[in-house]
Amino acid sequence: MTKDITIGQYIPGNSFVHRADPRTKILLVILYMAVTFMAFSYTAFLMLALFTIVAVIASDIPLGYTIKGLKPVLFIVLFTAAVNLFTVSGTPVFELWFLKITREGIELSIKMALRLTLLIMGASLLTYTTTPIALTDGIEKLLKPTERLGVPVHEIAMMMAIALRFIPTILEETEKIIKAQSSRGADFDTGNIMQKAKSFIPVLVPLFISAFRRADDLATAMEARCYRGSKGRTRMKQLKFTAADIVVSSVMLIFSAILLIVEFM
Amino acid sequence: MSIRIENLSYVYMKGTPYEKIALNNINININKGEFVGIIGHTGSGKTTLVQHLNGLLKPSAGKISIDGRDVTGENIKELRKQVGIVFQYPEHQLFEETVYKDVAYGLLKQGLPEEEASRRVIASVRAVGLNEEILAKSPFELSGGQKRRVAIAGVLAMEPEIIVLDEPAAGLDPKGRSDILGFISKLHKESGLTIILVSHNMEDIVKLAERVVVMNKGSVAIEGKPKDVFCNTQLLEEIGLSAPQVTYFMHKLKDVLPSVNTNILTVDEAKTEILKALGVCK
Repeated sequence: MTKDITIGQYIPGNSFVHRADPRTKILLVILYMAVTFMAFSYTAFLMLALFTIVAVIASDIPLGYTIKGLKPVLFIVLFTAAVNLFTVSGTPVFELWFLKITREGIELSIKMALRLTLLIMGASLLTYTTTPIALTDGIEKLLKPTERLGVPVHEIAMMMAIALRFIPTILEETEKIIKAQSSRGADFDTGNIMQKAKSFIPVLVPLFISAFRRADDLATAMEARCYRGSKGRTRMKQLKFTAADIVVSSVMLIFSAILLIVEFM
Repeated sequence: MSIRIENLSYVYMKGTPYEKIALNNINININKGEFVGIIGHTGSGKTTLVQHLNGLLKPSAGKISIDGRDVTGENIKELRKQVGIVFQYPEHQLFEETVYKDVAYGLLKQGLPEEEASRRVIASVRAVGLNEEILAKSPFELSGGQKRRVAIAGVLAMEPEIIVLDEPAAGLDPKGRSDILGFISKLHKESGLTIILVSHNMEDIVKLAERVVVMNKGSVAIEGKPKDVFCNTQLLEEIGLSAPQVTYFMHKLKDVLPSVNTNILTVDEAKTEILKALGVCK
């Protein structure tokens, strides 16, 4: 059940995208997002879609897997599309009581759905090809300059790393507790919303207890290994820019340039 | 209630790069009132196997029937009343304010009247060797062993006919361990429950089980009476398990005392055998 959530889970591989430096990938994803928001014509969307699919294939990630990963966010995509469909004013094509659908509304909701889908596919390519550790290292390095302004960069990165590290553990734990409680008669599917919410108490209480226990243990283990924040800390794995970064960046930059030329010229 | 598992296979995360075959074509029959031990090292598929028995997992292929009826077609709530599963570290699932409420949780979910629930709570708390004073306490102020028993009582209160225990004694001290195994054995003998005990501790299995199923890499490696299974030390070691320590001891002893029988699994049997070999009468 919880194992079916595939969005954002790292998939080991050895493609150019996998080998690129996390810093490069983070910056490129930001660029990708910016480009996605600048796309307005259908041509631009077609180009973006093709590029995204090619990028997924080039990263050795099964295409079906990324599409399956979209399932949890499908609701948000449909909801946004629906809101756009009914609220945009323009030439009406369909009217029923207070509902009014305009041609502009239809067009905008299609584009909005496309944009969100592409955004999620593109952004999840980052997490599909980058281990959580590399990702937080990259973020830490990128945010380093803000340290002078008093931002606790190392602490933020450490918290992110720990949070990411424990997502699978806590999912696993949740599943185990759900199974244990259903084995002794718990029922999570019937009843109204209130009853359903209440039926999760037997899951949430043990889950919180175990999360606190884990946090305690982890803190003790970190202290036992003399962890004391960022001061004087060195890294075993140094981030390095390589040929892969040049390849990946060039591809993305050239594509963005072409797309913007097509869109605005 | 008899359990029949036919050609059962289970694949985790089917269709993803993380796909993993957890069970591969398993065939096991368990008779009513039998005490079956399932052993295997970590990751051999023991836990995955038992989770099929009350419908927590659905077979990827094959079928499981209980008393001739296919489990997947059954009303899942009825099924879970008949098959109780005690998970590893069951004390991690306690959540109520008092022990009483926690043990009664499943019963009240079933809609049993308060009196009947209360009778069952008291009976099951006694069955796990605790006394009634504990009922008013918070489960979180109990000792590890007590918590474990309360959690087991929560499953027993459902009065299942088949009870599956996954490593019920893991992480307990020797006293806690023998207490837990003691009441499990008593449950089997006195109430005639069908019991499936999952463990990787050979000594526990030997002491209690009438039949042993050895799992390896998602398949059944050996199956049979404890005597027959554990005399196959070589195969057991190949799959990362071992025979009980006392069996190894008897093998060594045979070097100096050639008349002893090495087909020995428990310390008591060893004692009788050694006395016999030395010519000392019982």
